[in-house]
Amino acid sequence: VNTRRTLWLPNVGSLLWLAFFLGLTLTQWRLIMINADGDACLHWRIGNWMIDHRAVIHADAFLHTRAGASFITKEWLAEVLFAAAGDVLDWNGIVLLSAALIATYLWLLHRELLAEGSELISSTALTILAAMSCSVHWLARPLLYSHLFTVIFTWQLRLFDRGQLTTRQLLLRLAPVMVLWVNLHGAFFTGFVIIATFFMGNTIVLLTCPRGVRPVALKKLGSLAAVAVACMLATLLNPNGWRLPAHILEFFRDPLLATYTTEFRSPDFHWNNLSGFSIELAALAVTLIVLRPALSATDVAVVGTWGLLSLLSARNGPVFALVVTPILAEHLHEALTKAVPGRCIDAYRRLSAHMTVLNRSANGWGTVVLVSIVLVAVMAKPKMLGGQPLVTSGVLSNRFPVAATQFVDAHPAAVSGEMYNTFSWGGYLILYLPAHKVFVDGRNDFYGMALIREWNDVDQIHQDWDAILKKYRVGWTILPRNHALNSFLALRTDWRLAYEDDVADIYTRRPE
Amino acid sequence: MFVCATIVWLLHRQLLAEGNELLLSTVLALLAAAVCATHWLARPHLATQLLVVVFAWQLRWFQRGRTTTCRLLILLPLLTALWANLHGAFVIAFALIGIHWVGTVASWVGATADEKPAVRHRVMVLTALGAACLLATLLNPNGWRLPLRVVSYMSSPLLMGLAQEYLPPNFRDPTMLPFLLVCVLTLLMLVIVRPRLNATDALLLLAWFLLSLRMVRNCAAVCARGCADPRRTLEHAYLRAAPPSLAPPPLPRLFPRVMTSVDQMAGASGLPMLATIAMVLILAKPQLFGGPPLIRTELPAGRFPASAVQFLRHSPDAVSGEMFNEYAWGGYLILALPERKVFIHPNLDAYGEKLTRQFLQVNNIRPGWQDVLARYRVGWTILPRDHPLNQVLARRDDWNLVYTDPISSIYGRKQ
Repeated sequence: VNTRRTLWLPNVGSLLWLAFFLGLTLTQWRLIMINADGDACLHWRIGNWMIDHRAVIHADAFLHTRAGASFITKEWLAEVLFAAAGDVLDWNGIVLLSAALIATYLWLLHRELLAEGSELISSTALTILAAMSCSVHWLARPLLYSHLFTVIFTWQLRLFDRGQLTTRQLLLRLAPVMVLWVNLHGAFFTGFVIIATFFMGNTIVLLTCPRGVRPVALKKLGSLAAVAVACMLATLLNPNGWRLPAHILEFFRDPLLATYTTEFRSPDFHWNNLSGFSIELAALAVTLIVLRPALSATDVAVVGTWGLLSLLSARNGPVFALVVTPILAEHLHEALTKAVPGRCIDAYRRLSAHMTVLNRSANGWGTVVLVSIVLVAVMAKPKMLGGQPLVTSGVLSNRFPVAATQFVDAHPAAVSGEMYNTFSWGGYLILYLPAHKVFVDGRNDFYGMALIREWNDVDQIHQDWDAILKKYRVGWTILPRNHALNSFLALRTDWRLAYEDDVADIYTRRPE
Repeated sequence: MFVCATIVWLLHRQLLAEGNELLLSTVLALLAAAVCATHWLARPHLATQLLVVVFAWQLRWFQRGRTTTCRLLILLPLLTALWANLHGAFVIAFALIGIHWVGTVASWVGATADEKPAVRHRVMVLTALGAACLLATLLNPNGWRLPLRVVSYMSSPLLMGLAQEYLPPNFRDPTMLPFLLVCVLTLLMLVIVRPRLNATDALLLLAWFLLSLRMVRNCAAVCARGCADPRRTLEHAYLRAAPPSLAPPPLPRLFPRVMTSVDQMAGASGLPMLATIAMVLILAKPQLFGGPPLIRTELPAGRFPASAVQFLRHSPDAVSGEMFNEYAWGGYLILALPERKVFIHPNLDAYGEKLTRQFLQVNNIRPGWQDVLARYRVGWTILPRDHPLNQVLARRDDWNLVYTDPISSIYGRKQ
């Protein structure tokens, strides 16, 4: 291998990072990331509020139905970071930050697989498979930080489980990461579930191992318990202290959670965007059936727990992929090593060996940095040089009521009283109609199921719909054009159509 | 319930006939019954569950050389002809034959020169079986149009999305717990026992697992189709393959043997027959002996608009024109109000996507809903009391409330 190439040729891991970073930024993915629902707008607006007030938000400022109510933010730091990126480069900034997070956690996963001794081609293929599974949640949201920390937690715990990390090192690595996690996203409980699966696996080892090995197994369990306690204490280091974990536990206990939140429901395998998760499950099943690997008790606990959790809630699918991929890689590598030589296997091994040598000699991080800087410059062109943007990111006018909000902005007198809005537009309206407060947004953990039920009663035009609207002094509605409530309000003499386009209708209550 | 009991009995018999131990076979048949119970409804798909067990059994026996080619080629096409006339899910037969075909072809790779003629023979027989079964599906009152209709129905995301049983399983639903347990047991079997599955069993396990994740109705098929190898392997794990630290204590080892001995001694097959006759007599008591029934089986009053139907029977002139009805009530209304025709019923394949879209347009009050009602000359609606359309009709001058109770409301168009 020509060593001069090392100066410009990035290794496979860096190339993966660059490919995901560029791919997510320059394709339709950037629009998907910010247009899936109104949450990207919501986080930007809340982050902006905190930047403007130079304080962490503790009371709601966006809902008229819960105005001033005590608000526990689960992701204040992520919202500030998203808002800062948005303030600097508009939507392009948020896209760049999200793409960098996704590319980084996939790069880390690839590094983990290689560091654990897996072979280059299979590691790369499995990382791409994990990426396909995770793509269902490639959205500009704080959840991306949870995926990043999931990879870090799994990697460090696997190192510890194999005796490659001391208890002290594990504590010093995971506790600070947990402090970051608890301030960046509410799914920091994932970290405890990962620790619990390793604890479960080691408990099985303790119960089944020969008597002489028990002290070692017991010590390992003690270390994991200490790490869990340290991480638990670390979760208190957030602006809301103990109230944040308590609030999240309370939220998870609500039986209606899965009824009203799509991502907490069981995965709908009819969705095309879940095909990656289906393939990951099939890959696991094929590995277990065909390769018949001798899984450790910890691996069984990890696969079983996360398999079950991913079937219960669609949002656990990416976590399943991130924690199971290292197990798949380990046993695929083992099978490839033990495979009986043949024409295909020999050719594969030659290719793999050649690629590995090339990969080790490649050290072209400079190329990756250079391309990334060029991309950021392209995305930032209007801010830096003025004029038209070269790459445009923004909310889609056929998905959100862009023209309707412009109408309300231009004719503030056209509406009066409070707003009734559809659930998925809440975040968008908070960002683009800051003069008005919304009825609901994506934070159902904050305002609770009581308000969701009231919102739903109006949405489904139940008997008490008008009483609920009057209770909240609703004077106007902004709803998708096909919404049943529009057809209903059109028949009522006490409401009138104030605005309509292909996306949204606005109805206002006539003065009594 | 007779069909349900027969399904479980047949599965149990299959497990025993394949040499599995009695206690484990019974536990696994009961577990399969718990999974199938989510679909123990008085519907034709029970025939599918029954025939899946028979097909899977026969194909497994053929694979193991325990049934003759002639018997397979006569029995299964005959059953397919029956299946095509009993329930539309007869395509499962082709999925089962297809998986066995692919598995047998795959086994060619690892077969020795001596084994290859037998493998080739099995491939040819399965090919002939697939063709014979395909021809057998034509033996129905609609001929070639039936299989075509089924395929067309299954390729429509709209129709498949509307029927609950075609939706993916909701694992948060407690009724899915038995299926989850089956998944966990299968996973444990694969990681602890590490069985050496042949290509056909591996494909069956993989294909039906993925299909059950796509459609809740396939969960029952997974358990009813009787992939006996995993069960057998579990038995091996329990009785033989367990490491010394996990070896079962003497009593659990003894218990299955005692059970098997008792079972071999028991020959009172007349007792279940007697119990069945007694149960039929009890249920048929009003018809046979008169008087009130001993066991009453009725449609639950809180689930269907029984009072509204009674009102319509007593006051047939209260409504005129055609009906617009709740989707889930279609079947009930067809039975309870035979003199009226419904707008829609759950047999979506009967009328296709166009009418389904029009139904959804009215049901979700989308723009143009009045045009649909006018096109079908709908003169009255019968919908759940809380249905949004009731609220809309209540505000319209050309409709009025004809009847209401806690379950349903009837609105009629003013003349």
